[in-house]
Amino acid sequence: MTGPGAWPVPGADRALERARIGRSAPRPDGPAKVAGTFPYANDLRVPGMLHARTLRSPHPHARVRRIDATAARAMPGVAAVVTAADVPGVPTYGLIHPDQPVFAPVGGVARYVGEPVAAVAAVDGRTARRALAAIEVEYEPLEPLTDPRRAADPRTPPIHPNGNIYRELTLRHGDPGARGPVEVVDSYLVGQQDQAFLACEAALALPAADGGVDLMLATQWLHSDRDQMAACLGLPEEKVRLTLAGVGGAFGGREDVTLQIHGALLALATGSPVRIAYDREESFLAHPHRHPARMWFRHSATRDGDLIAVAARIVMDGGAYASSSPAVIANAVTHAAGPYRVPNVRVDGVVVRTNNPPCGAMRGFGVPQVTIGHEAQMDRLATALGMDPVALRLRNAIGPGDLLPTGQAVPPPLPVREVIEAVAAAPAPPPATAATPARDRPGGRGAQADPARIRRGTGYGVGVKNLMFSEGFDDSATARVVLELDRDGQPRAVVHTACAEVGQGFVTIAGQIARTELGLDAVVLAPADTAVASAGSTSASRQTWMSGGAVRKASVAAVDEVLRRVAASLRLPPAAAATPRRLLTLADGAVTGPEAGVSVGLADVLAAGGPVDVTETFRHRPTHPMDAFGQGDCHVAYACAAHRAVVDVDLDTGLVRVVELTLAQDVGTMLNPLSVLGQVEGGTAQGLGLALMEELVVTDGMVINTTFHDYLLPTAADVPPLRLIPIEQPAPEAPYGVKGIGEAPTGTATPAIVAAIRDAVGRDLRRVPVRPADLVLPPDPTVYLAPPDEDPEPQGPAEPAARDGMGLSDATPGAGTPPGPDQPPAPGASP
Amino acid sequence: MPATDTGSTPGAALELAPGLAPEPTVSYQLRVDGARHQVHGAWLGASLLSVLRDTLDLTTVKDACEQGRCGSCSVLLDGRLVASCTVLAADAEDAEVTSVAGLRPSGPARAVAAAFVREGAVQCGYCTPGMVVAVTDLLARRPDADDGEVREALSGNICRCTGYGRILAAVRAVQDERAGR
Amino acid sequence: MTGVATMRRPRSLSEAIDTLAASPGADLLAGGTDLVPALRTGARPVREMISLRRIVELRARGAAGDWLTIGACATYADLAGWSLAPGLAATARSVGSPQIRNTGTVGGALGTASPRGDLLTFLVAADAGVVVTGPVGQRQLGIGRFLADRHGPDELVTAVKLARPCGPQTYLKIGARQTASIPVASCALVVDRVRRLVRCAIGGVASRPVRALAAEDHVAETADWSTGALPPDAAHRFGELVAEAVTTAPDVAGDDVYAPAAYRSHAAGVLARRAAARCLAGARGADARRP
Repeated sequence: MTGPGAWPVPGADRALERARIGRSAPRPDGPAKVAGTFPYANDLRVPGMLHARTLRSPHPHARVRRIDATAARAMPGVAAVVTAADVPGVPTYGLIHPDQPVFAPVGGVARYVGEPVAAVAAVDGRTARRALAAIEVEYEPLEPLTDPRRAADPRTPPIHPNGNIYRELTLRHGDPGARGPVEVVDSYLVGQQDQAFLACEAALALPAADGGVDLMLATQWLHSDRDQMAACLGLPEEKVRLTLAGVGGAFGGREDVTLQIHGALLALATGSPVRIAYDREESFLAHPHRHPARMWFRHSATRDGDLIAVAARIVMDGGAYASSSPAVIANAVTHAAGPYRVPNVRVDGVVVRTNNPPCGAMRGFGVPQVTIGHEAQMDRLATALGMDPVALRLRNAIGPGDLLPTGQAVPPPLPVREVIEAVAAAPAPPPATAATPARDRPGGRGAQADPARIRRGTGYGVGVKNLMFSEGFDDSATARVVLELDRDGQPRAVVHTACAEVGQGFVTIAGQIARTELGLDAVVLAPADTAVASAGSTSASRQTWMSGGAVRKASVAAVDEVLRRVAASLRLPPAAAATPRRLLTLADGAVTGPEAGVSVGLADVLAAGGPVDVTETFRHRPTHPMDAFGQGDCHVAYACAAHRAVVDVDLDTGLVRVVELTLAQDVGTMLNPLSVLGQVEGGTAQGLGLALMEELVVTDGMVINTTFHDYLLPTAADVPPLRLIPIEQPAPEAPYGVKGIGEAPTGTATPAIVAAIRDAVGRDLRRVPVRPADLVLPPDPTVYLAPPDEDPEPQGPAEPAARDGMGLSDATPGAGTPPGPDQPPAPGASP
Repeated sequence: MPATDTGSTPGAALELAPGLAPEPTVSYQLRVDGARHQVHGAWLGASLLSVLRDTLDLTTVKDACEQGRCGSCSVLLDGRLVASCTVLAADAEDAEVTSVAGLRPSGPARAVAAAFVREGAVQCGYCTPGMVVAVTDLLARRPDADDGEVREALSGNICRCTGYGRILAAVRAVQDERAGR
Repeated sequence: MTGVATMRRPRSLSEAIDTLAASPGADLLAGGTDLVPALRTGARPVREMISLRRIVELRARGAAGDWLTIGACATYADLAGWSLAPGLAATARSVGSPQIRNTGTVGGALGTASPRGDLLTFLVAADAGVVVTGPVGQRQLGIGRFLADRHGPDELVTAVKLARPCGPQTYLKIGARQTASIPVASCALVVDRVRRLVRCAIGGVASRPVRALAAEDHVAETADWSTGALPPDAAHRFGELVAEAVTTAPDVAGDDVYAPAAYRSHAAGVLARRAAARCLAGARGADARRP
């Protein structure tokens, strides 16, 4: 990556070459990135390429009566216009369920504002844009379904053949009817956040001589894209080849297919390279967002503060197409009780189809929403009990061996107690005084907050986040390691995976792992592509564990092969040759074995026997589907985190300034401490954005704020310094004991900040993001899912709902873990 | 939302207004990073950003919002820090445009870039070229800016990955180096 | 050059006026911070373009007699440190990001006349004069008349005139984040201790800045003009009257992505109270700044 045009960074190359795991190695792509020469997907240009643009429905719900592209096709400079009629394969695609049309077809229905209807390739972007204007589309507007609560009502007519329910989940653990003497009940609303990765979606599609297509693109999961593309293009998978181009951030927003199929269709239709790239408005419309959520919670406890029961109902708006909604709701439901020991849990969750923008993956994947809810409830409970909120959390902190609401025993380690204690013990920042410059008061210099009217607040947010894919998904990652001689005859390793580097730093970690295992400084990362088997998605906090595990496994196998060759050449006895690691070591480019009196250069081994070329696939421990009551070992592992937020609030204007954030996090083993810090600082900032300013506002299905002018992101003036207290407890099942780190702090920052604001102003604050108006105007009654104190469900054990509009639910009564001893037998459950 | 607020056009990506009349074009010269470039027949309405990237293939300048709100496209225009997406390219004819690539020969930018790599200020890196221009500009004008001033001065440059912590650390590192601390 | 419109780059004001006369309806390009993004999205059509950037006389600013004159092409950055015009400088500092302040101009702010424009709000409070120049010479309009009538198609804004300050002035603003945001509500207050009056304008709340006349009168009547101080409760009352003025303003903005309308009037009241406390503390010192 340190190619021509990269800036020389003194010391970086040497530091990099030497860095093994555990060191804060700098990024190998850093010098190119600071110089601006790193090639992102939207920087790719080839001679003669065409420029594509997409025509999108302006209606939240409309039947497409007619599409006439005659005039557009006749325009000078227009090479092709494609619509649903030009899709040769399966007409729909999707991450989990293929329910989304490549283009809304004539006679069919467009279900959200921004749904693709046609795409154009032209000689330049302006011509493509003008060609879109020349395509006539006749729509018959239909009544949009935009209220998720209406969508959840079985009486509401379906807006898609698959129905309006993506997934409905019932979780019953212990005695679902259990109550306690102290109860707090409330509802919470979480707005729609956008990933807002900085480089908008882009790809370059190249038609290939074999009738296939090569695509260079920014994505999180090459193989998932390839499989969906191949099905829609009607091509065998081997004729759809994807290579990762530079990715400018992702955060879940590149997990779904957006422009991939459109670009490939146009390249195949025109026989020319096609560049397809979105601008910001189109990006906002095109990729799925974080699910907005309405949540009702009831927490019951003893008078001493032991949690007895948590009841919750979660309604998530999945928008027009399924994306990853079925998995997101599973995360929300299984994490709804938080990192606490709760003997009796009852959660009902549903994610529905509406004519709002599709929602899918975003950092935290369903967990940030419920963390906002359960942490608000823990504070309310502490108030009701007259307890310190930290003491209440410590009293109920879950730990290894305790049962999660799914009935799964907490896999060790999970230092919930430690993270809470660590943030609570951190020194508090100095209070604001009259001498605090206006710049550092809420609202900054513009608002000139009156120091006498600034109130300080402190709040905590504690959470747990599952790592990697769940519910029995066959999750694997593959790596290939080639040991070979370079042109100077020196040994080097080439590491090849399909892992998408989206900014998180896998390229750094992969090199560190390979250098550590191979005892070799010269490690080169091959571009990620589909020539090697899948790495799975760069999501779910999984790549260091999964693709890192694969790189390690392949590196170990490569070393074994080298040692075997040396053992064989030495004609060691068969017993010794079978376990050459007992006698031989590969380090610093040489195989040595003092006992056997061996010292052979790796270069000589490779020269004699040719390159060593091994491919290995890594899998984590298998997980299992949940049964009809949400019981089962559905998650692989967990990481916990605790944030303490300190805020200043201007009581007159309701403006909030976050003064300081402290984070204690369960980080497993840190392979690269600098990278850990960068990940948690970034995740924290996104949590701050959700707490205070980030919301995609959707009114009657129309997205109102599709620009950075009115979808505001935190700036350097909004994000305070973060103090990180890493809690290092290696995860025994993981390579080197690692844990994924990017997601957990995103979920805890938001509730900590909201709690700190509550502490400052003494209001309940049921809606996130918190807006200044919420702090100074009368509370908004529409936030409630159900009025407080009113249980939205009848008492006692309920029928498992397990409605699944796709007819693809794994949850069948009787399957999986039987109900616990305290739980009445479920209908249909075999004893 | 008042109609005159151009930043808030709902669904602007769906805008079909341009019509089919021939688009007005202009030709002019641009001076970018010390080199002269002839621009032939560019659309009159094109921003400096789009001409740099799409006409001249100078992709070191990044585009992310095209509304002057994110700073990814920051360049110096006659020495002033601007968002090139808010500058009409045809109006930059006799100006000196300096991108991150043009900062190269001078020492401060190199120190900033090195600190960015070393301190972990780069993740996805898409904001980085604009951020390096902004930091270099700031430190040239205000070498001793305190933390609050640095934060305000960088508020026109959005980073979505880092939460700014390592970026601020890199700025401090450069300040410390220069002060011999 | 082909097509229906092109780029004009006059180097003097007279050349600009001739160019404009030859192509009525042309777009005047100042900083471009509003126009250029709008051209890209198609929100504004591309027309003949007259750039004003090269006209040196439009970038001048200065003081003569009782008046300050600011050329239409002065940028916010040019004004941010101008000690002769503290209110204008505070306004300029509060605009957007450094990139926007380096680019956006006074003339551009008047041309766009966005109701959220920081500068426009201050100019209304300052009762600024807008100098427009056309083929028959230049004329000066009050800011109110300028906003109502604009100027002729053959004229362009060449300068803004402000009375030299005769008392404290300030500009306060609430944005949706700590900095670099447009105002959700803003308040410009200009105190004239010679004429014993104040002018107050509220931005971001209606289709143009709202003058709070009843609130202004209240201050004029209650202030101790020998010291320039308000009596203890007057700043509070001033805030209430400003909030009322916002609520009853014509074309008042509704709820939007930043805030409900009710918040804007509340915030305007708070900012007005703060502005009054800052500008009308009199000789009593810092304590008087606490409402």
